[in-house]
Amino acid sequence: MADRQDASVGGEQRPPRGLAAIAGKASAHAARLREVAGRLTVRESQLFLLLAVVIGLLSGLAVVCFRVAIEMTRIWLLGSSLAPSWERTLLVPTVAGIFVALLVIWVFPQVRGSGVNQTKAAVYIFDGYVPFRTVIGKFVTCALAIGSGFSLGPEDPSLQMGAGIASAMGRRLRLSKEKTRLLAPVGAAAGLAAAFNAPISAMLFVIEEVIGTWSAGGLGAVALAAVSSVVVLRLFLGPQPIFSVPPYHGFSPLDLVGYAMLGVCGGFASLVFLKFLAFARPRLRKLPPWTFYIQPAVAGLLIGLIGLAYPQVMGAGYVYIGQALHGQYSWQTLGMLSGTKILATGLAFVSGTPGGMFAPAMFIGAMLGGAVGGLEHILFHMRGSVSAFALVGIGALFAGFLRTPITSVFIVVEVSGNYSIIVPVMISNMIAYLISRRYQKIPLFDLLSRQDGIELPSLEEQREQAVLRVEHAMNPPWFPVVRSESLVAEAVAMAKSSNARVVLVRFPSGRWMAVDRTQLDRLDQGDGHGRKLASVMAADWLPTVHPDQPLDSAIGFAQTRPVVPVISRADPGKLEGVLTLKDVLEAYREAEEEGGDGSRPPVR
Amino acid sequence: MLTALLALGIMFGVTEAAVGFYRTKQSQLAQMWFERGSGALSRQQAKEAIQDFRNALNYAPDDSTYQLRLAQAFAAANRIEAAESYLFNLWSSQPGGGEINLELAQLEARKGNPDAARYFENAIYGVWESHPEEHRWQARMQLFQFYRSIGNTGQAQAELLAMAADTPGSDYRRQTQIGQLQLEAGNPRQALQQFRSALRVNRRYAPAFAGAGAAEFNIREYQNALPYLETAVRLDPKDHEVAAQLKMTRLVIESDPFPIGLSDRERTERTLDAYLQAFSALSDCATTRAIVVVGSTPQNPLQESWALGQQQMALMPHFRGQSQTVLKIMNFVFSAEDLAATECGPLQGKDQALWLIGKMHQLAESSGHHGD
Repeated sequence: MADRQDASVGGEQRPPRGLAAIAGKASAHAARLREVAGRLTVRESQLFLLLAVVIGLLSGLAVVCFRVAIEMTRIWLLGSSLAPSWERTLLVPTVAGIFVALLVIWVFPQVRGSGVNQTKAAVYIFDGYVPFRTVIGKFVTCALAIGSGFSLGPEDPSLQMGAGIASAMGRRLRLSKEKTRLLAPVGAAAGLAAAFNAPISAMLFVIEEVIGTWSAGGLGAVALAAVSSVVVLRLFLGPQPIFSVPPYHGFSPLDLVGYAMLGVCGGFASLVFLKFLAFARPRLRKLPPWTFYIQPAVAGLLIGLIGLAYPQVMGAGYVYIGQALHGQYSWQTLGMLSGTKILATGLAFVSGTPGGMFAPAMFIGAMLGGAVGGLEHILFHMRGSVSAFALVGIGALFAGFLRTPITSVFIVVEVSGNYSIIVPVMISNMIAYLISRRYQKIPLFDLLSRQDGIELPSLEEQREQAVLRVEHAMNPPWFPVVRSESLVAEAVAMAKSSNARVVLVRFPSGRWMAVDRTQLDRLDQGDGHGRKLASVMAADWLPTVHPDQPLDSAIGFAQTRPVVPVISRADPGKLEGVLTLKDVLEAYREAEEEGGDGSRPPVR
Repeated sequence: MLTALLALGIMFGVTEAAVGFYRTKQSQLAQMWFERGSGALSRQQAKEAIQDFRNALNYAPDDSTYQLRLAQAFAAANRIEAAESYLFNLWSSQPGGGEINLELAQLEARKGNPDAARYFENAIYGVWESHPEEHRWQARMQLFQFYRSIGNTGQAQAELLAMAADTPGSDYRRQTQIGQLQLEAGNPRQALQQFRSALRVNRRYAPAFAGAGAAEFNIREYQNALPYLETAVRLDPKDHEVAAQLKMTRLVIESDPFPIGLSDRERTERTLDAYLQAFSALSDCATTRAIVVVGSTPQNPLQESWALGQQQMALMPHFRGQSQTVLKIMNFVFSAEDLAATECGPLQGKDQALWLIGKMHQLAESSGHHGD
């Protein structure tokens, strides 16, 4: 309507003539085009949010079907009892291993592994491209593997399926490359949220492990997708959390010592698991190619053998985590289950069978936690129940093994629906995380990528990299500072007395300008003599920075200005220091000399 | 976008169908395993029941009935912590559930935890899906037994009275049960009231007759106990315990020299019989303890009692049923039987009858109602 009004108004004006008229028309068209382009940009971002909801819904539906497929496969192949007969226990994973190998080698070669680092690779290398075939392959092979008793979980594959669905949608809608790249994490969050019935943890995981930053443009879309997928999941499979957890009755300070001990145990158990994968996976990958056909079958047979004694280690194992949370096992059994699960999951994963590591990590954590809790109960008469220890153990393994410290806290809260356990979880997780990081420098998903010959950015390393800040480079305010009400002659005198090349001028509004001596001399000798600086200076405001800002953000300013004022956040009128390009470059040089890799800030 | 929405619609339909099929299967399997588990639990096969209920819960993880049965199976297998875990979980969502509270109470009672009383109370006032009166009555009964087991007789008695108040007048069986518990708790008079209430409803209920007889026996009203016990034995001749009590009652009545209206001759005979029986009891007890009582200098209670009895011998030639003499002789009899019971353990037959008469006599003297 506004456009039409503008046109009618224009229509009443006398038409311009000649070149001026053409230039005027061109200018008007350009303005209209800019406006339309602006609207289109808005539409794409709105579409992106709508798309996030659709991706969330589709991913949720896919994950529901995936979970049903896994369960039906298990019932069909292993029987409806939780303790299958010995024939099924041995034969089913072995035969299924052969089928999985054939499918992986001949039909779906990209479905190997957990799916997390493949999604990361899609984001960082392939512009968000995840082939839709991978989604189908992941669905089929993982349902077969997990349903037949391979000790793997459905969450990481759900994450990759979500990313694959999102990627396919992006391609279908011919979205820009940038948006398509952002869609993969959106789908990943949706898939993971539905797999865990935990939208917050899924979001956090994607931020911690895939995107690596809170400021990504697609954060809103990630949240929308996660919530949409969880809504779908709850619509079909119910609102209850994955585990039904017994009531938790607080803790005493002594209990916290116990939970700290659990953190230590969790850290070392994570290390054992990580080191096993780090050791065995590349060695099996180096074996002759024909062995890839039998590696999953051999792993299946070995898992079956373990399953004869401990059928709990077969499959994802959620039901057994629930049992451990209800104190159904002795501490000795729990200890054995955590150990055998590490072995069974390690075997399944290194054999190249597709499947996730989240559920096994949670299983190992719950069993280890229960074992530690049971033992502490006997030895030290700790008040904390075995169930509470099992729950905290889940977080400890998550933190130590998957190395996602924030997600590890929230996942426990979300999958259990129990907030009161958060303090022990934080203590235990932090200790497990620190131990794991101390003795295993490369986190799991980076390790797997590097074993596959891909150098993805390590988000843990990025998080922990020390940032050079303005305060590391700035110098005390040695430039002369004059007020804008000062006379030009006063400024000239001050510049002469300080022998400075530039004088900083402070305006009452708190803004700054810089004027060099040549300019000052010219003004003093010309029409500026006897006048105030404010009245003779052209409005060319200096950008300002604060001491805590990253130095990167000040480089642009320092390149184009002779000096950048560093202003106090508490008092915007106070000059804390000044920054020049030379100072910035000097700070980077010193950081490299002192830190080796520029990761340590220089001390000034 | 249209394609996306179409895909969404198709996926929705597919998922709906898949989940529908899965839910049906889940439901069938859950029911199948639950029935197996219930069967195993009723056959006291707790281990099998645990596995079956676990399987059932795998397909219906939020079913509170399955969880409760699993907890019961754990309790039956003496795996208290696992049972408690499920029960506390259930309790947190249904704190007023009668069955859950009762199960928790039983577990806590088994551990001797005083908190059990709280859960029993919750069960008594909680929600029961079927037969609430019956369940509440049973819960109170268990609370009474719990109080009794921890020695809190005051609370136990209070629960018994509450149970009596809650029992309908027409329910003679439950009246009898409460009477028996009152009797066990040492309240024969309240017990007698319950038995009489029961008998007012059913005049041919042997346990109520036996209970009333026992209550009268405990009150030491042997004449009153006799008809109850006789009827009880007639109605249920196989109850040897009641028959033995009847026999003892008759013995007490036949051996008592104090009843009004007894001829002098009869009184004299009963007194002399009692005197000889007391000597016999002392002699038997002394033999058991290897103590010589005949012709020895009194050095211990048995010898002293024997000597006292010898002194009573002087009264015999002139004894013709005089009440003072009867009293003197019987006092010796009572003290001798008491001593024999103290020194050599529970008495039998006529000795026990005489001992009971002694106690009855003491009771009558203390309440000022002499028989003579």
